Amino acid sequence: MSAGTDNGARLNQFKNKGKDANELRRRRAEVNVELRRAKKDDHILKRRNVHSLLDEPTSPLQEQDPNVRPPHHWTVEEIVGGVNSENLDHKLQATQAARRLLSREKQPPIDSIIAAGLIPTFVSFLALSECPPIQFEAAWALTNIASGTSDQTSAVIDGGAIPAFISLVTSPHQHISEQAIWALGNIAGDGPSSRDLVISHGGVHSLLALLSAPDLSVFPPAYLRNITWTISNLCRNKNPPPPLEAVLELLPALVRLLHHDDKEVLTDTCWAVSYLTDHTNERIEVVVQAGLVPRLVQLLACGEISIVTPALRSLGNIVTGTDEQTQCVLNAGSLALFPSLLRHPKPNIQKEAAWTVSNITAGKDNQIQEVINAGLIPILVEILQQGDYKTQREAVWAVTNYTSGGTVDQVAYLVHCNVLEPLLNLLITKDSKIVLVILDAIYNILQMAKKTVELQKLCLMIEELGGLDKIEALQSHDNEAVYKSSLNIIDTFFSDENDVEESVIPEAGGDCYAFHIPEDQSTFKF
Amino acid sequence: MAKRIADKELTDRNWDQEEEGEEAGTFSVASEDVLKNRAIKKAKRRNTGTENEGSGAFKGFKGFSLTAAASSSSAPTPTPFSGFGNGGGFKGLGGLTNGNSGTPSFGGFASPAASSSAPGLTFNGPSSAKPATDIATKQTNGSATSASQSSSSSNKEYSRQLTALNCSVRDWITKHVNDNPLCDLNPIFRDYERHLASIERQYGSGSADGGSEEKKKHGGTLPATAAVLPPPSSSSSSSATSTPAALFSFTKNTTDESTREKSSAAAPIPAGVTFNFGKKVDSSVLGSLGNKSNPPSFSFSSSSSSSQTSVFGAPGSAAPLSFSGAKAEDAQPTDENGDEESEDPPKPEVKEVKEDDAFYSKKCKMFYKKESEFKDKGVGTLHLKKTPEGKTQMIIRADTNLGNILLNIIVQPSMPCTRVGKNNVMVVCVPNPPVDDKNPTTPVPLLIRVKTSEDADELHKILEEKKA
Repeated sequence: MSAGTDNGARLNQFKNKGKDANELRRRRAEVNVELRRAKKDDHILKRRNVHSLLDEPTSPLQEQDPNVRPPHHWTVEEIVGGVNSENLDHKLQATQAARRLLSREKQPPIDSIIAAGLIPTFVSFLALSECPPIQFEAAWALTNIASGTSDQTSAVIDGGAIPAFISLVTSPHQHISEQAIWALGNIAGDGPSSRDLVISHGGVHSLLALLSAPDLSVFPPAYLRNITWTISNLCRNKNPPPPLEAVLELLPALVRLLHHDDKEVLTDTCWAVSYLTDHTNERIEVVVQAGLVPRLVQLLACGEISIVTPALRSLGNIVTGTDEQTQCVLNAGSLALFPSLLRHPKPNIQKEAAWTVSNITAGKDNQIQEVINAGLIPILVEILQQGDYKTQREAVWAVTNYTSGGTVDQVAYLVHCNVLEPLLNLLITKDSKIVLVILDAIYNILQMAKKTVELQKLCLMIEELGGLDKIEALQSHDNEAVYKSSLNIIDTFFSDENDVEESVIPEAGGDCYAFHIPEDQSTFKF
Repeated sequence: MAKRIADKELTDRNWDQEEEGEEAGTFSVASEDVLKNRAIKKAKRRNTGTENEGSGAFKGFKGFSLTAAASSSSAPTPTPFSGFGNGGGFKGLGGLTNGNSGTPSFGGFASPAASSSAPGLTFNGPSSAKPATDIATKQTNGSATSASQSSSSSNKEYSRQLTALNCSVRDWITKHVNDNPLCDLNPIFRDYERHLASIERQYGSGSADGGSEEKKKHGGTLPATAAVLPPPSSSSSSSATSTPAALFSFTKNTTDESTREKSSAAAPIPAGVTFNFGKKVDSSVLGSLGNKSNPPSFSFSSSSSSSQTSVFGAPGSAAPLSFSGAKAEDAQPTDENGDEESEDPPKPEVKEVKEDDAFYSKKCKMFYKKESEFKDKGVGTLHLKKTPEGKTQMIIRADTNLGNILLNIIVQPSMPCTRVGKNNVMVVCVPNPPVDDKNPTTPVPLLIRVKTSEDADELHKILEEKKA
């Protein structure tokens, strides 16, 4: 159904054209996994930098000691040997060596470590509270293993790491507690089942206990960010969503975090809210009940793209809910921010904003009125004329929903805003779904006009704008539904109802006057 | 409820990824088989010929890739796009681009009642200029900040349009030359020139993102939106029932506009008539001319028939293939005729250019009776000539470049000839060329439909005279 096979070569020049949806999804998934590791690697690299100074053999003492191998040269066998030693110090060194191997940038030998059966060993080290360094090294090593593929994370879970880590959250050593929280974040973020395992082992409670401190600024920023990030992973994933009970427990903490002033904490909290709202109306309801909406709208105006993105997504999710939930978002004054959001330099923000508006215009006419009052309709028209295509798609939906739920006055206003021309111009798009949506809008507008005396003028307008040509042409569209819809419009509004018919009306024959050359040449004489 | 959840999962991991580029593209046409089985309707046109180009470059494309004669029937005329701005109800566009013009910029739309009932709606006067400049500034700023975006998107758009144009031309030419190697491609190239100019006008050659180019792009529609503030319904929740009508009025103030409205009954569809290459859509177009929607849609202009007559004079030579291109040039006179027709009692049409020694010529449509219904034979021009033997010969020649003969008979004294309906004359004769190959010598009732009842009277009278 592409625009033309001749366009194939040209299409391939676009980054992602010429590849089907599956291929693109696979690539996205790949990129996602890579990014995930990269994010953790970023943190790990930072840590490595902190420690590598100590590791480098700059100390003359180390250089002179022949028994101390440079740590970064350990093999997996050596590590196995080391952790099985009776000597706690050797265990520590081996564990640290493992951590270093697992922290290197290029292809850390995660599977080799797993194959060597080291996970249960490291898990057991987590409990050695008499040796905090080994707890730390083991926690770090396991964190990095858990940051890999789902299989690798599963191996960590199977090694009994979850309860061990949860215990470590309450470690008196903050860096160990932090590492445990981080590990739990990796595990929870792997998928719904591992998330729920963390929850069932009491992960939520241990984190909330931390956040019960009256003032969050007692925490070092990195520590609080880690907690927030792990909480966001506990809120993440659908099918199934996190247990409602856990969510209800987490919500007050999220409210607190949402009022904190650290940018990364705000970012991750907004992500958490966006995940929680990406569900049924009941799930949206608990978020709304927790009173998060006004703060989200405030954050929508904060100007930080990393915060605005998830805040907008959250509010966009909420307005997919009931009219009442949508009204909450409107009551918080969100629409005032949309003129700039709809014109945001980042196309994705424009798109999300337009999508949000489209779900508001899908609501009641008083909500449509609020959209009008915020001056958003001319901006939607603007988008239809010249916006980024994905944003245009959302704007089309916004218009059609509007025509479906609006009053006659409101639809008239829409037409007065010159929506028809750009709307009709988009009829040529190859996306048949959108063509159908546009045709629905046109139909709705015409139907509305029928109630007034202005139908003829509206039809004339559509004709003059070239819309009638396009609608007529769409009867030849590949897509059957488009054909039917365009036919319907022509039938209903653009066919002759008042004809003086004659008794002798020639039937519309199937045969046209074909271009028969030979036949006519024979009679071409007088 | 029409709520839609997000189409794409957004997470802290993927939110900052580069967006996949996506384009609107153009739609693909259904296959011939599918089209064959579809009832495709011809839309009634109310506007009799001053079709604006519109801002969509594809408006004129109907003649090409869509192979839809149905759509080619309403030809884009060379009427400049500013026709929107300075005519009819779209005054809002022209008015505000001029800035401080005192003319009511939105007068075309909102009736005075509406604007007076809503003091917030400042459509008229200098105050309207302010929002215009405001928005214009905003727009410039907006696009300045996304300058790379919009200029690249207009580049993209330009390329896209141009590519689509070229592909359409290529496909069209291929198809038609395959069907008929003798076809004249001149009109296609004329159309191509026009569309290319239109694309360049709208999307530029990519560079112009500010200044006049942008203004043209944005100014045409923005000002209209700038002036529009929330309609009165926001303040008065329960408006009187008269308000809907007032707000919904698309008053067109120019007289010729209203004339066109009146003449909607006489909307011609000449292109559908002339664009016949045996295509299925053509047949449906011709067919729809024959269906119940007939009388209003049937009238075609004398001017386009004049172009046909030139075909008769030189068959096969530089005769324009009458699709949108050629018709465009004729459209203006068409319009005038249409206007005259609606205002005054129909005048007898000026006689067409005579063919050779024809003493009477008239545009007509010919039907022949098959079983119990009349079938469309085609549209053409009827000529009456004197034969050397003193008889009268009736020739109906089709409006194609070759001028195929629809009918060629000698008017016999015994030939029944009756006046039928509003504008038809029915004769019964043995048709030549035959309409039924199985019974080529059987007399068949033929219906000849002309434009007006006066024409029919005239034709009938002449035939009766010449029979004797």
